[in-house]
Amino acid sequence: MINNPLLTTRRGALALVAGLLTSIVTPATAQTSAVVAFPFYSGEQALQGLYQHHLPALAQAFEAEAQALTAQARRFCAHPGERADLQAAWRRALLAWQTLSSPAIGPVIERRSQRQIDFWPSRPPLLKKALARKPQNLADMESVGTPAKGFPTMETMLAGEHRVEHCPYLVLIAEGITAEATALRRGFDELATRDWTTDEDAARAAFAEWINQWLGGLERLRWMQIEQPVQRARTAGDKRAPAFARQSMADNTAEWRAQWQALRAQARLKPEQVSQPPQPGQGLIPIEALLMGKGHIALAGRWGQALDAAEAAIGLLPSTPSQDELMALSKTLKGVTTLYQAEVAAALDVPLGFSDADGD
Amino acid sequence: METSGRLPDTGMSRRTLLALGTGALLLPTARAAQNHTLLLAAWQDRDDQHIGLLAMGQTTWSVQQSLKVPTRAHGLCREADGHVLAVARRPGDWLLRWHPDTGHTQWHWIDTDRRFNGHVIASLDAQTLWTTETDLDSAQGLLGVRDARTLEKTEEWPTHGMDPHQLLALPKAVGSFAAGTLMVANGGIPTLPETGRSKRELGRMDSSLVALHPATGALLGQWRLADPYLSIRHLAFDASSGTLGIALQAEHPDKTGQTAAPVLAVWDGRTLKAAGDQPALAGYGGDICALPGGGFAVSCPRKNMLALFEANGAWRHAIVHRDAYALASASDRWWLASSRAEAGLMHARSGLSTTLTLQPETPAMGALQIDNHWLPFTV
Repeated sequence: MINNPLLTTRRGALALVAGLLTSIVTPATAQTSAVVAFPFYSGEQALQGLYQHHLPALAQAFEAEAQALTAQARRFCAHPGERADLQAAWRRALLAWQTLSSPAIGPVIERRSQRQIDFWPSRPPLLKKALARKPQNLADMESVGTPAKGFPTMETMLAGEHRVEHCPYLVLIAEGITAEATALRRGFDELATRDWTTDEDAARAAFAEWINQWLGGLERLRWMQIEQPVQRARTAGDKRAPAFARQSMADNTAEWRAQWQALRAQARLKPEQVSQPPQPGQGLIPIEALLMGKGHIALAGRWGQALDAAEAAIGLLPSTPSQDELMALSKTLKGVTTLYQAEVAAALDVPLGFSDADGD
Repeated sequence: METSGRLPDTGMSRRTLLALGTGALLLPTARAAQNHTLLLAAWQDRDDQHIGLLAMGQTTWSVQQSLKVPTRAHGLCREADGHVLAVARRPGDWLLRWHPDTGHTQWHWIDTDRRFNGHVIASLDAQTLWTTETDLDSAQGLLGVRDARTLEKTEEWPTHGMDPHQLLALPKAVGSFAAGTLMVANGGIPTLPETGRSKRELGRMDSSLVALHPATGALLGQWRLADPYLSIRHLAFDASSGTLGIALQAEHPDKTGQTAAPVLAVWDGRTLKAAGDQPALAGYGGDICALPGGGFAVSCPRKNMLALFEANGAWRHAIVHRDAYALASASDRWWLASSRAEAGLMHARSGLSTTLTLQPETPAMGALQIDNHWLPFTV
């Protein structure tokens, strides 16, 4: 028996829900649109939208960028010189990775991919040891700790003095990222063909994972990547600069925006969907649509407003934000967290693990 | 890399101090002099998290001193010299020492591959701190052994389980276990950084109570309950009976199992057993304290109840209290906080059912959401 009402396979799931005819006010424009009816979406339909229509393309994009990174690394090592092209390939692959892994669900969790290719911070002493061992292939790299490979270590190597003898290791890091990207693409391809209605327990777990991990992805961005480095620097008492995940602030802000856009895509209706609700089986059904479909019209409105406030705040972030500006951004993002914990997840009938609204 | 910072030594600017301590009320501890009991607590005020001292009067309570902290605090500890320790709620990344009178702070940020699990205690000689932690690579539990002066880690001991939560040093010998033996509650819930918000693989739960040697970390004993879905989380020691009380939180996949699950287990030095004849309390024990005169109180916020037990785990009775959460006891009194800022003061001498509800001194204080735990600072 499925407890979550969203996870029902009842025949009427696709039927328009009586009482959901309403005027929708879009906060961005403050205009009242036409009367719109949102269908009730089942949890299985939400999962189908996510895993069949949304994530496979992101996984393919990441795999393609990872392959391009490997190719660029090989070219660079064959003809060492200007590293700008390789750095650009690293950035494109990184953003594609963040877009796929925000939030981290499905194969990204099963494979512990964040740990495998994006362990931060990298550890230079571990890298030094790994370089000394001169691994020859990916099998050799399996014995290298994650803090000495993946995106952060590659960034460190690209920022430092280039040494020809280190080039094979650089290529191996890129190949490792590509291997992970390929494994993820396969994992998401497999999930794309899954019929979620055949296994209620699996569907319930996957839906709860998505709803929980969306919040986890937001908090990873808000706290771990933006606010915590600032707090850590402030409490050190020696006026040190915050240590963000990437070495250049431009890379940090680009990455934060990519993560936010990926989260937002799963949370907010597209403008055209306000008048033309997403149809089950045809595309991603964002969280806002789930709220509308369950009749939580007012909450969906506030949810949209909170997301738009965060969108505006992260869009206005200057290229080199001050600590105060980052704290203000974090506070705005926290507004999304608070609403999600207090109302959105509950409205979707999903208990949050370790929620701030809970004890411990 | 773990990092620490101590304000007096590093010359942190007043501006920075104020930024961190926005809302800090550095009032003199006048209430303590007026025979008010001061409780060390953590709370949320609008969007901000705080730790601080709450003065419990005869009819009202009030915030005496407070410090804004970056995320929700959980476990608190009073040091002999008047400092307090606070640690972030799991998965936590900061440990803080704060002196309520001077405002001095000393921060410590945990290593990238570790997370605090929410509780810290100090050794009797004040030389060592122990913190419950998780190794993010393996998800295994650790006891961080720390230099009390620097807060830096000097050793790590395995807790022989996952998700270690509260810990306690036995104040006196229990059975064959000497005074000072470290008792650690392994909550048993698998957690990894990738799944920080999602409880996965609860079928792999392995909760246990362990006894560790305080000097070496050697495993002296380990006990499990028969029901694998009962998470062993919070501890209190009843000195009159020499019994350890354990507040439980049920993680059953079915609602029926969760609703009826016991909220208390007791350990007498030989066996660990769950309380048997309690009513349905939603399977969630929020906090626990030993009662003056013996026995245990377990707060059950999901039932708006306070559950009272004998020291051997036998059911005594319940007291209705909205959002019952933090518990503390000292001498002949004990205190109960609601997460909605309602504080109950229980006078043990006048009967356990005598509850005096204290009102917040100002309406603004009534908006505070007092967190899971508090403890006597001065009585």
